[in-house]
Amino acid sequence: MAILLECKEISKTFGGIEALTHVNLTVEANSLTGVIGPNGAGKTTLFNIISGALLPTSGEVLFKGKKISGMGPARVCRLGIARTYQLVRPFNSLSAIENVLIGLGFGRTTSLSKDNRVAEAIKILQFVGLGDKINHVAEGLTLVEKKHLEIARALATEPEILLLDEVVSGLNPTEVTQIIETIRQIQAGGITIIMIEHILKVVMALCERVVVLNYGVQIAEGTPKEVVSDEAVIEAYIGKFEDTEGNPDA
Amino acid sequence: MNRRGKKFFYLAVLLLCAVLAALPWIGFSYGIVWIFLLAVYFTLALSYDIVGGYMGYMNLGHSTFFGLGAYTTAILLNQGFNLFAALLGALLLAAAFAAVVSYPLFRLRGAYFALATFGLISLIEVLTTNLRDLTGGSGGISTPPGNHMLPSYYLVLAVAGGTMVLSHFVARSKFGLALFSIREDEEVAAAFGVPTTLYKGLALIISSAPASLVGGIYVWNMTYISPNSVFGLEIALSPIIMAMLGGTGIMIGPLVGAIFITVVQEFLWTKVPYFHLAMYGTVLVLLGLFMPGGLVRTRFIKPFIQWLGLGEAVDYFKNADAERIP
Repeated sequence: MAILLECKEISKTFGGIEALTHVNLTVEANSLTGVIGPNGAGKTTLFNIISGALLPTSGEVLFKGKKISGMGPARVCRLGIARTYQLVRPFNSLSAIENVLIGLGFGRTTSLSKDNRVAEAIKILQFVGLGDKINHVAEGLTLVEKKHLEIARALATEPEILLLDEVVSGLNPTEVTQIIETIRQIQAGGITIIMIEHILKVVMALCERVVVLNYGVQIAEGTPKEVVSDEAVIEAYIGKFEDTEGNPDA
Repeated sequence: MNRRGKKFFYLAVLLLCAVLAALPWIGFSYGIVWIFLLAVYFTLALSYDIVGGYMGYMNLGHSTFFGLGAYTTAILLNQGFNLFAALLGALLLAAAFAAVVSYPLFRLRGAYFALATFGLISLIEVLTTNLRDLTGGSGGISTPPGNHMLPSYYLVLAVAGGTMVLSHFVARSKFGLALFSIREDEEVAAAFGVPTTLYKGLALIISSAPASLVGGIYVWNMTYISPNSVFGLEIALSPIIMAMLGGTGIMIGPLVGAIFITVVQEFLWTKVPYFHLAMYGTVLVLLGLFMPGGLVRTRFIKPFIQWLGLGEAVDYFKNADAERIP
């Protein structure tokens, strides 16, 4: 399969803190990659660098073989990389449909007429299950609705790669199942997904490949099964195995 | 807006236009001067609101464009240009100035942006006091004399009306939607493809145009200005107070605020001169504390405004069911 996104030797320092050290990531078209790791491992920093919000200290990001680091977030978005935020950041005083219309108006397909954009926005909102909330102000939506709205806004830019930053955090099990279903459908629609996730159930259910970061260093990579039995990963998550009571599932 | 509201609204607008047009002919001369100034302040407040309300950048230096427009018009009129050429010159100069300062200014946000823009006024004021050959220095500048009250009254009303139309179309456009998204969260707006630097600059240029025009008309009518009269605190702050008192980010807000303030000021002026200046400061503090949404968002006025169909701050996607005043 074709390689869509490549992160080459990405390093990022904030003052004296090394948030990322020589991270390499290769993402194939239409795959679903998971990025996991303990808190502060640099997962969100990696997303910020891919989406152009931050510049890497060294290394580069290639999208379809073309260098995108340094382009700025707006241009990266127009090339086809969209994201959601870990702590939801919808445009609060705008209605759900207007949130989506921002994505439609300024993402990759800007040539649509206004009526077509509105029709398309309603379609996307129905897809994520917000069909009856199109005129609700984003501020008044519940957390799960806001998360769906963020996905809708990202989909509206017609991305080739969708970056999902902990979409299921803070949701109850029913809502988690809903979002997993939505993510499956998005991937089935031909969109490549990279997701940061803490909840292993979700990672195991969805991801084809998993990259594990710890203190900014890539410590493992492989299928979810391989990764969870990797010793370095277990050590990063629960510390060193010292007695036989340890839980190998953790 | 429901149908009854719409009918009522258009009727009211028509009636207002007729009354305003007829006023000079029924011997209401003091009222004309008063409405002239009201329209000047209202236009400033409304054009301020494009940057200050729609986009959420508090531009305390909005009166710089007014002053630039006034001085440019005065200088061009003295050079023998006719009024419209002079106004065009003022418009272009103010727009060029906005374009130039937008780049450094919009690297700042929040209070830093407000302070930096406030500094612009002093910058231009110092320039006008010192470029004596061009501007007459601190003594001010006079334009060819004549009684222009009547034409300038109509002209300023036309500019005020034009600004309302401009503001309405900006709010309904994709560009306006982008400005609202910048107000809500600029980083996210950029991450979703909004060309923020370009749009912020454009918004400043658009908001500079009406301000420079009313500046030009003002000097044509008054025939004399000094640095103090066009770069003073009153002209700098009162439009912003009007916009904030009425409610920012919604077209009806500056209108309500401008009428309210000018009426109150009129009463105060006859009782205690200059007391209104102290009032501005007090109002600004109280507004921030108790009524950040402005008059149009208060419990008593909001339902009425919504019934009129003017409650839709964001107008990109119209829908009757939407409760829009945030």
